[in-house]
Amino acid sequence: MKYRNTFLTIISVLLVSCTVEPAVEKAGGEGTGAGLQKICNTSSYAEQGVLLAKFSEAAVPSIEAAVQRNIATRSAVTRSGIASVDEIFSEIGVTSFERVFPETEQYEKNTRAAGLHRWYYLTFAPDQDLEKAAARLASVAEVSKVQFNKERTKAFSGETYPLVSGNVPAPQTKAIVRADFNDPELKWQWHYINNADQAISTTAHAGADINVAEAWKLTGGDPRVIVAVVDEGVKYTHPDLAANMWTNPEPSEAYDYQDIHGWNFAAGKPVSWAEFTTDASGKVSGDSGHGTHVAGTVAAVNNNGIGVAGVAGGTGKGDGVRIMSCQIFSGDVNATDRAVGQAIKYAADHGASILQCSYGYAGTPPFTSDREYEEFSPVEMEALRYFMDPEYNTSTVIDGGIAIYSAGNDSQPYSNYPGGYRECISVTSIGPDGLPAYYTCYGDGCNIAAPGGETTGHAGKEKAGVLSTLVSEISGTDYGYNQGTSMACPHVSGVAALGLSYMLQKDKKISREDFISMLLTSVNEIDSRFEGTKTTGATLNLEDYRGKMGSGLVDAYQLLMQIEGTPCLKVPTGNLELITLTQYFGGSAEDLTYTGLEISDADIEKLGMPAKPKMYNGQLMIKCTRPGVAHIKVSAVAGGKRPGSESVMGGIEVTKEFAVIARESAASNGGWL
Amino acid sequence: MDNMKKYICSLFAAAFVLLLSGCSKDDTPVVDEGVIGEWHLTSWTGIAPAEDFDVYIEFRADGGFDLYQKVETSVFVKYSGRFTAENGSISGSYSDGEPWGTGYAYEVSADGKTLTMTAGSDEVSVYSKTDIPEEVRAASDALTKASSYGAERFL
Repeated sequence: MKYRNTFLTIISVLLVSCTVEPAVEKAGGEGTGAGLQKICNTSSYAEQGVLLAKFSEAAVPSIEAAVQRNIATRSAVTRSGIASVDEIFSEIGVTSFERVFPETEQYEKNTRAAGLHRWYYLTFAPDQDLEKAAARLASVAEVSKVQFNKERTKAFSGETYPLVSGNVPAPQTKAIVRADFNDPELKWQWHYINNADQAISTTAHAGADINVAEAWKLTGGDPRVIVAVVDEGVKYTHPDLAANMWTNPEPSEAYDYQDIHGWNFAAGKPVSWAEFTTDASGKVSGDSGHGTHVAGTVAAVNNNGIGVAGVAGGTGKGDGVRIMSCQIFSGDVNATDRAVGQAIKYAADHGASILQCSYGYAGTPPFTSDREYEEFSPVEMEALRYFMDPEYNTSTVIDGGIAIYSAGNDSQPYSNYPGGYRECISVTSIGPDGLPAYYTCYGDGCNIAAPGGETTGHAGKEKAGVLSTLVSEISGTDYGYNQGTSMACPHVSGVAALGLSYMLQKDKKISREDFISMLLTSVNEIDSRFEGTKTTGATLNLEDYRGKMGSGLVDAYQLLMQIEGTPCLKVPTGNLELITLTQYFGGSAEDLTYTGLEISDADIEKLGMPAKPKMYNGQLMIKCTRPGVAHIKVSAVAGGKRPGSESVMGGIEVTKEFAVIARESAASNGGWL
Repeated sequence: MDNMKKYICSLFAAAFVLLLSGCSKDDTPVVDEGVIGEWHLTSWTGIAPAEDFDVYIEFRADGGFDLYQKVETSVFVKYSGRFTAENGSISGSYSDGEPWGTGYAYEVSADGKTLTMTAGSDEVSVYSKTDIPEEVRAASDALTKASSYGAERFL
């Protein structure tokens, strides 16, 4: 909040002085004004002794020639081959100089086409003044951008609760769990099937789940769908995950042929998951099992007779979606711009359709608009664009990748970034009561809600958290509970993966844009219960959250039905009708903000409409005087009252096109005759 | 006495036969043979609906019908009921007691492969004789099971 206030103050001063200055406070120090403009971000929470630099297109050949010469002589690469740059390298004592995105023969063409080959990573003594070094580097013409390598953080409370077996009260409503799978702990996964179990919470609300049990009757997943878990390393030997791990068909020389199930981009080595220390008080630091927990929610193996279920974990026949571990946290090494950029690009190069990201900025992000984010985090931003672009993402499942982020756990009325970015999906969290979790961020930039649990404040204590897979080396058991938007996020990733699996099963071709519209409108309404207060880990005024948790609570079955096809809207002729578009925009249809309606003049004439239909108080207002079929396209905002743009945080605009069938007479039960 | 008994029994038997025949006469469906069969909606108000919606109907000789439609849903839904069709007029009701939205004038083509049903002045539906695909019948069953639970989802 402190940074937010600082930011507002700066904006006020800038406005008063009527100057056009960058909105984000940039690093100061030496160098020219033009040079300072090249410094993208600030040095708070940045890795010491490290800078990222983007060189001009013209400078790249000299740099690459110098790097090749050094490699040929087997000497360390510490110089760029450009005199003015090398002079500065000398001054700050550069000890290594290499590309941020490593060269791999198979993907080099795409890397260059996207301009990612121009980013370099240089290291020097950690006691060097980071800001001065950045300013010196930015003063050179051949350098286009300089970025501090800022840290990210995991979006969860940090506390893990192992699943206790043995003398534990059984769920009181176990008998009505309707899933067909035999995973013994599924009965505790209220986030999939919530039957208002009193052993979870006395305020548990039936249906406050992702409605996946019915979806599982249609599909459990598809191994052609790959979900990249950008997080701590996933324990790929876990008995409930191993069968659903992605296996690289062509490990790369750039990773010593060790990128079998992914790669550890934080430490530059194969995936790891149990590097931790325990202090005298028993507090664990380092790896926590966060990535393994998240992975289990996406795709723990279903129907295998052990442990828990995953949203897209298959049906026990080897048909779960595949998890790629793109590790950005490793032991005590935090994720940074470089690691997340590399991880995201690796996911795109290796065919991941979904990017599961339960991380965000450490501290409050020092920006509140997409433009500022784009300027502030170019390495991550360019990698995300690469992932989303069908030209570069090698997945054949859908045309471009879908990035799904946790909204953040700071209870702020806006999403953390990158989730807040208008092209990323930001996920808020609810508890088993169907109400906002006490920690969840909400408001601008948040797009959809999912269960993230609350391990405090409920009768079932930790059981009101999300149950998934854990790292036994750390927690002493393979399963346990966590809470956070980190835990909500993989529910949406899992539902999206299930949707893509069903698309493959049905041999449907749906564009990325349309798929995102379907995902964000496959929801149940939750806002109407936001009345009064709620007290769990904190006391919330629930009215504050109305209309701010995204488009609603994600519903897996609804997504599969949307993939199945778009239903028609039947309208009787002769009367002015007001129709809630629930079947197109989900359970929150009446509360959404609609941004547009398109219909051709020919269709207006064909159905004898006296006026163009319009959206009125969240409903379609339409009058037809003749029978026939017309096509209407309606747009709405998923998350908030306005679509996000470069200058303001906001929701994602979703568009639905459907046919209107006007009939003179129709049976009231919906029958065609 | 025996004759009396035989006489009474004969009377009962005759009455029973009459009753049966009366019942059977009342239940005899009024069905023009031309409409019997499986039909696929190929044109409605002059347009081919396949892109937007889809309807199959099976009219049976016993006066029963099954309707498979994908109109306001994304998968096929099944409706059943009874109908009568004679003298160019067809009407009916669903098994839940709901009558059809309207009665239709109908015409079967000379080759028996096209059924045209007209409601009011503008709503002309043209059906072609086609076997109803198995996946249409199967999809209908799948929806029935799923939707019964799906309806509980709204909080």
